[in-house]
Amino acid sequence: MDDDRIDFSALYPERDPDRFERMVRAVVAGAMAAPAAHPLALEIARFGRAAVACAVLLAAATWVPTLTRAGVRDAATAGAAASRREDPVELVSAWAEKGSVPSDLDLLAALGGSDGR
Amino acid sequence: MEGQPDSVLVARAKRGQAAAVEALVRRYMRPAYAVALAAVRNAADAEDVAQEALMVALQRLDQCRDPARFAPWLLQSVRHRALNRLAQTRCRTALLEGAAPDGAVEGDAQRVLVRQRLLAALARLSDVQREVVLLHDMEAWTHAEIGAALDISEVLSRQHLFQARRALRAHLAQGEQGENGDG
Repeated sequence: MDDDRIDFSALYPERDPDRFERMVRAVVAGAMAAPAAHPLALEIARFGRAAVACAVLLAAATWVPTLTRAGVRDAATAGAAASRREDPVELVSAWAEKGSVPSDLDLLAALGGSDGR
Repeated sequence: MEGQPDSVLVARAKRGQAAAVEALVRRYMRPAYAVALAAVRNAADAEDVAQEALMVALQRLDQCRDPARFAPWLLQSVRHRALNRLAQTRCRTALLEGAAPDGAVEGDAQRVLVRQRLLAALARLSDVQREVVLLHDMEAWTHAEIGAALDISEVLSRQHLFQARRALRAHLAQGEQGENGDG
């Protein structure tokens, strides 16, 4: 069968070896320059996504109890402060008359800072 | 790298190993050219198509689901690209009637003549016959390899080769007789 081979050598791309070599190098360079040829970048991106997800979970685990506790405390102190809220001038005058030192909480409540205003 | 199976080379190329990419290019540049030539029947266009198709295929290796079947996957892409090129060339030729065929500027006159004669003879074959005869006689692929790459049976590959060779010989002999008769 091979003896019957038709001679296609005139059509060979290597009819000019230098040209063929240039073709090979051009294709290799083009293939290597493509984004798909950078698996490291893909790995970093993949790792980055996992890292961000972990960070979100950690942040949630850390902040949710803190925020919840702070929320409960705020609600309690806000209630107390509201009940005690009076005219700041009168309150400060009363403290001055009694010569008592107000607590931080009372001071904040008197100045209207406990509810964030 | 030379003797490594496609699956190994593809896996390494996916990891960005330049040596594996180069081995694949060296292994498949000619088969890609042969399949492109079977479609476009023009050496210069076939070279362009083979280069483009190889480059794009290697850039998108992640899309090659079965690395062991890299050859059929690549050659399918080459075929599509070549047919697109052929359609573009036909449009261009229709506009620029009488353009010089197949970069007949390079090589000695005898070689250019032989090439043109071969291309004219190939033009008389069906697409699959051209692919089979070029992959077998130009690339020395076995019928098993051709069958796997073109998704046809080995028996059909043999039949196509037989018919293609007979048609090519008849056309080439006819051309030589015509020339001798003229001279």
